[in-house]
This record gives sequence, C-alpha cells and structure tokens, in this order.
Amino acid sequence: MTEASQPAAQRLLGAWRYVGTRIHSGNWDRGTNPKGMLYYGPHGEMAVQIAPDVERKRAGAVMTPEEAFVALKDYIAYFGTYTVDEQAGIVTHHRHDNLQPGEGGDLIRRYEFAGDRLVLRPPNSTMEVTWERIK
Amino acid sequence: MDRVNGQSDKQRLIGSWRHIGSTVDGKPRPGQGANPKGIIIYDAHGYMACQVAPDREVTRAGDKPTGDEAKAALDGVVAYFGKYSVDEKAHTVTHHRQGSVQPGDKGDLVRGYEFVGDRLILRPLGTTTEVLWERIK
Repeated sequence: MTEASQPAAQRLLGAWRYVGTRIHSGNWDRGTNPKGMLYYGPHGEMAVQIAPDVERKRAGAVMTPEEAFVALKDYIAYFGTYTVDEQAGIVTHHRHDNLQPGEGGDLIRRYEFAGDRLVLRPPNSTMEVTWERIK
Repeated sequence: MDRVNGQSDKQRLIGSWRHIGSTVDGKPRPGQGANPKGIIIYDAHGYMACQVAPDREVTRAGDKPTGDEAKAALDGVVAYFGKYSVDEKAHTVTHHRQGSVQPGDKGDLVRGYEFVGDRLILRPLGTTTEVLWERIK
C-alpha cells in the first residue's frame, strides 16, 4: 500500500518538524527560525511544542516577570490525546494540559497531506500550520 | 549491551511515556502538586520532546498573560524538545535541546536511565532526583 492510500490516522503517526505558520497569506511572525515538533502516537496520545525564535534570557537565579513574559509569549506547548474523523478530514486535539494560562479544551484542525508535509488548519480561519515528517 | 527480548536500550526508549511523578531524596518533589501530568517522547529517528506540568491552576485575567501570570504559568514547568542520544554502556540518555520554554535554560541534559517493567526512571546525574514514567500503550 502506498502511503497516500493509507488512512489518515495511519499517516499522522510519528513526529513532525515545524516548518511555519501562515495567516492571511502572510507569515506569522515567530522570528527567523522558529522550531517545533508535533507527535501523534499509536495509542491516541499527542504532544506539540513550537518555540518562537527569540532569546529567552534569565539574568539571575530566578526569572523576573518580564523575563517570564518574553519566554512564554507565543510558545505553544500542550499534550493530551487525539481523535481523527476521516470523513470530515479533521483531527481533534484533546488537551490534558496547556502551557498557556487560561487556555484549555479541544482544538479542531483540518488536515491535509502534501507529500512529506502535513498542513493543519483551524476551522473558520485563514491560518495554516505546516509540518514536515521527521524521518 | 544488555538486551531484553533482543531489544537495545534505545529501542526500549522509543515511544511515549506518561509522567507519574518525581522524587527528591525519595520524597515527592516540592511544588508539583498532587497529580502532575506529563509526557516524554523518544521517536525512532533520534528526536525527543518532554513536557511536565505541575498540578495547579494557571489563569489569565486579560487577553494576554501579564508578567506575573507568565511567571506563575512557568513555575515548575518542563517543556523542551530536540534530539537525543543513548550511551548504552553508561546507561545515560542525553537530551540535546533545540527549544525550551524556561528562560536561561539551554544545552544538553544527561539522564541516567533504568527500566523497571513498564516503567522508566530518569535520574539527573549527580542528584537524588528521580523522574518516573510509565509506557503509554
């Protein structure tokens, strides 16, 4: 069976490297070289992190509120479980914990495979997040 | 090389593991709360990611977190990712971090590893800290 003919739940499995985010056809500014990783496990577990390309400094032994603000800004880190609806072409991330304060619950993403890439799109948004299969 | 069912240690690490707690000197690590959550992933191509969140409520009053809210949200949190390498002789796994949310937190982390049934124990070298994980299956 070629990869393209596999069910999406099968094709999602594994680790993906962050390529970039576009919104309104422009690049979402996460600095020059943001990094990130997305993982879908075979037992329904998932995790994602995206680190904007900024320096996260700490001058003393303990971070200041200003240093914390810079470090946390736009950093995505959550994990939980996921479910795939192949008919609708969506994957739902059921977040068990999220780094960002005041944000929880499920996230729905439309998925599209393009060669070695995976594009995830929040519904009703022009945003697209592109990932490349780690292999 | 120790092999279990013909698997190398690296092969045994591969997959994802649920955080079940951490201890210092055999006692629960302070500041983690009753039920901290976390996951560590070792993939087949040498990449890893780790997140641990203490059991606490993190809140935000406005649209964006304030400095104080950000500091509270980062307190006790682990979130990093990158590559890893295994030294089967030394029984260590090194996390080569490419990103970490904690300010000022950079570079490699070396962890002694031990497999106990379905569990994985990671120990920062030179400490009495143990981080416990259970295979997700």
